[in-house]
Amino acid sequence: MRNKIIKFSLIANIILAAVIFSVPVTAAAAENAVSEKLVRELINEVKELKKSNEVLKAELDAVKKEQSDIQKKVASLSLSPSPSAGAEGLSDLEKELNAAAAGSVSPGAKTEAQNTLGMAGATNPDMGVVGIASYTAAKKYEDQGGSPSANTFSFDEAELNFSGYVDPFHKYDLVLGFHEDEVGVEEAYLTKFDLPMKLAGRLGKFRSSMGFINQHHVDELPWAGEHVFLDSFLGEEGLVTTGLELKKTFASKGKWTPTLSYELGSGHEYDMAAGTGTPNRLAMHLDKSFARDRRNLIRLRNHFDIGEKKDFALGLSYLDSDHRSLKTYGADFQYRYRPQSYQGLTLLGEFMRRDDRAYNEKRRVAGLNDKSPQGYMLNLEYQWDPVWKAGAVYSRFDDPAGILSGKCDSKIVYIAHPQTEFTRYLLQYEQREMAGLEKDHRTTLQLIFSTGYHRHKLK
Amino acid sequence: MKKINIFLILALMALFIHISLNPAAVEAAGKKLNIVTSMSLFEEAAREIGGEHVNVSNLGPHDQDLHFVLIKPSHINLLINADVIVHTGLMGEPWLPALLESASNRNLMPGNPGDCDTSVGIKILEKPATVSREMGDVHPAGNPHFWLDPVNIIIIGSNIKNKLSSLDPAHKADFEKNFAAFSDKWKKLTLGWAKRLDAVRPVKTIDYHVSWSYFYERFKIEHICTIEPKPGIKPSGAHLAGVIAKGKEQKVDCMIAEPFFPQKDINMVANELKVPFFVVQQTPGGKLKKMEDVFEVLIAFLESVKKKESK
Repeated sequence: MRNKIIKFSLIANIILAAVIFSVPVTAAAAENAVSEKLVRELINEVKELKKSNEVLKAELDAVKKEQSDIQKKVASLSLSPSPSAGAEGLSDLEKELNAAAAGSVSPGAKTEAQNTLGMAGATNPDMGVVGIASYTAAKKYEDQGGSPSANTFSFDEAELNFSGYVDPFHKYDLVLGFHEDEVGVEEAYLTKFDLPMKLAGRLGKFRSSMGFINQHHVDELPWAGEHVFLDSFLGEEGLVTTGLELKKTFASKGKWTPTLSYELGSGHEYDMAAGTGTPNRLAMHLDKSFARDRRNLIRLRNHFDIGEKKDFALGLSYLDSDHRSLKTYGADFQYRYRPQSYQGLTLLGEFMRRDDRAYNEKRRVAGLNDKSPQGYMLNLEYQWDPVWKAGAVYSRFDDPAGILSGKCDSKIVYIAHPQTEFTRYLLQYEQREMAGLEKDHRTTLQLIFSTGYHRHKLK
Repeated sequence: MKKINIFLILALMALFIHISLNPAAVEAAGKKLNIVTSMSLFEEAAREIGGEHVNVSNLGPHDQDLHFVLIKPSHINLLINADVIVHTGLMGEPWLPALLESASNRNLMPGNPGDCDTSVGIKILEKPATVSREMGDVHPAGNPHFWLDPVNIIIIGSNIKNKLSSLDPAHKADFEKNFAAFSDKWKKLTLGWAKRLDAVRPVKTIDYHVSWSYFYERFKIEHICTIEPKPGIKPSGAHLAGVIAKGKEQKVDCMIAEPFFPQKDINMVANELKVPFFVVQQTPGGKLKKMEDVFEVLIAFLESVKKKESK
């Protein structure tokens, strides 16, 4: 409409101007005096019209430019109709894109209050159940006290786990263990997050950081059953401390990550030196000479990344027990190679040695062997499929003084079938050889299941 | 005397580590916001939006399943000095809580200022009314693969922008400007892809895991079934036979799967159905450096499937 008006006024002006300038000026000036005046007035009017015309023209150009810009924008957003969805579909998508960019939350979208990182519920604890059942067949079996009976089914253990945040500064963990006749608190501790220097603190009853394997529950280990080497040093249930632990992981710019931890507490630790000296495994199990000792433990673990797919960790532990001046030294390593999420190779090794100066001195005076007991284990595992893996374990315990069993070693091969993340079937063959006893062969079929809150552990 | 010895050993070890790690260098680098992300798309978004004001490190590489990232103590190393942890917020990373607890960086704990939940503002799909492990390894909070809808990538960017602006208000204008460029890029790309996929529909697919639900929903791709009978459950022979029968009945056009899932079963089903099978990653990395490359190759594959069929 505006354009038409401008065009019309332009044409009218031109016609008017042509008419005006074509008016013949005759000699009869006097006669035309009135006409001259009229012409001048008309000329002025034309000049005025020309000026307003220019203004209108400029406005028209601006409008045209604006129109062209809008057309360009529309073209850039590809709003032309498409064969199947049509302009409406793309227009809805465009609206959604614009809403997303504007940060407007659509109905039904997740809200800030529904942050669920690491928590199953706002106030309820994360809960889980772990069960271990097995069938053991022994080719040649001799009762060695405490070992599972041959050719029987057994429900070895059940665990009930609770975990949750107490407040922004504390988290609790509780692990209840159910064995055949007993129920016990395996772990119950509080983790504190707001310590200075980003120290991590634990207070309560927890699995001690003595070595690598001891920090893991039985269901987290790749093989089944007892472990001749660790059982001898730390007891069948492993070393559990009641006390406090301070841990510091040092931030570095490189590829290595050292973690230093200190533990102060007490706990039940098998006091091997207080045994009767009978050189068999029976003595170890029957002689429950446990000592409630106070202990200090220092552990340094350094972890190295070897590229994206491989890593290596080396740990050193030193445990100093007040009781009978026992000192335990440990070293462990772990190498992992994982080319795929479900494929990988793990090599794990651990060594321990224990010194009991007072006891060794007595034996030395009595003219007996006073060498300290020591042991080691190696585990190699290969996983080739999400639900299949196999491995071997060799462990050896040397007790030259014959305090416990003298010497024993164990060879294990196993194949594991973790059907899902929550169940694992394991078939294991073990050959165990102990001083003074015949070779023990046993085959175990084990099932481990876990339910409840799903979280992975740092290993 | 013995106690003194232990504490002396401890102090000397701590001192040695402290000196050898040169903490001054770490602190100097800490002038910018230190962002740690759980996967490479978040890393890409944080870099583009944070620009020169941030340092970004990533935990979950593109060639590992986000659910089963191999966690290492060096990850703790990154989290100790992090100002922000960017994650899915839908328990898509079951390994993350253990790392955060080990890092003992309270700032990153759930709900604290350094916690950046990227799923806020997103319409979550497949949120189960009840949760049971009988349903497989189902995510109680819903399907966490929401970044596979490009519209949600803008929302992810918006969440990151808001977090950075709250932690570093001095550079808010820069974050806003970078986010505007980020969202403009994704708007144009998404509209372009929508137009291209309009031309190739209908497309029917089978995949391995329920990862691509958001992509299918956005671009109206018809999803027939997954090779996994339930999330995280390996298929049995009987289930695979069922998948093949369903694929034939529904006249499936193609199959897609991520490189970290076992390829044997997928190949077998694709051969039986005589349909093309495409291996595509969920997040950027390797040859597909940017997230747009991931979408681009997938859409190009779907176009090629339809072209072949029309010949």
